[in-house]
Amino acid sequence: MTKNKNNRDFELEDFFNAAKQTAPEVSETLRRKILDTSEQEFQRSKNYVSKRYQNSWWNYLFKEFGGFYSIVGYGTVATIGIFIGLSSPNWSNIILQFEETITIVELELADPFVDLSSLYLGE
Amino acid sequence: MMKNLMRLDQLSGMSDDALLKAYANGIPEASQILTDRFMSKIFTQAFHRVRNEADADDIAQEAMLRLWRIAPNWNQGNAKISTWLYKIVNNLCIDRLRQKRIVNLESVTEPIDDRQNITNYLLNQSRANALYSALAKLPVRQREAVSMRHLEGISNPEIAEKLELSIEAVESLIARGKRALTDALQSQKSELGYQND
Repeated sequence: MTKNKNNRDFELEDFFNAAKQTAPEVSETLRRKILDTSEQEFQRSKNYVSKRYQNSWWNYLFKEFGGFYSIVGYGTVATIGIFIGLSSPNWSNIILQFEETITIVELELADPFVDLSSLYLGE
Repeated sequence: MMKNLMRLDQLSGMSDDALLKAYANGIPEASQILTDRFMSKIFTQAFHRVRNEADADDIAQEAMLRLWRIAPNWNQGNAKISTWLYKIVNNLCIDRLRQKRIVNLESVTEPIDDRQNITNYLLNQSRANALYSALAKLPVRQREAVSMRHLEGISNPEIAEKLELSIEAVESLIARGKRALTDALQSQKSELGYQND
């Protein structure tokens, strides 16, 4: 009985071996095809991400405003405007004082009789 | 080139999941390692199901394409890539066989290798055909288990994982499958190069 069973198993193993021997090997062409599809898929996925970025509403808005340099310009102007609007009035006084000083200096330089006045005072 | 080789060397030690993530995160070389790890297995699996080299090629290519596509959304901790691929290949084989409707296993011919003795080749061919015919008559689970164990060389624990069964259940399926195959092939013994007792 055991012998018979062993014989039967051995025969079945022959069938499995026959099936394996007649099965073809994986070809290099298949490997190349698979790698090509992986490359294509990789590129497609990259394009998809970049396209999604290009189609985003904020990117659209960014372009509408004229791009990077325009946005920097708008930002700078807006910051200065906000600073002027929110800064304390002392800043205005400082500017005015500066203007007065200049005026005084100008007057001093412009007065040709500055020494003569002391002569009159001496009298 | 050198950089590429270094990269491949570093990648080769990574797990399947990590490689797929690497591919999704912009390292295309990871796909080479994954291809080398899985291509042969899925091709063999497909070939033993559909019995046609061109179809097995297409199925292997399609399965790998699906893997590349799922890469950005692959969740680590889910099923193993090998299990996932096994299921995909299995479904693709079923679709392919459905499309063909009539699968005449006897009509499948393979080119004869010059190195092989023609008689041996023909004997092997007829034994392989007889085996595939007998396998086709087994219940699906038995067929899958026997095919994986004895044609694809997959271990019992791996089969258990792929079929979502216990190892004992797999062993039982294989034993019953082999018994049924032996019984089916007994009647053709004399035609397949064995002497009748």
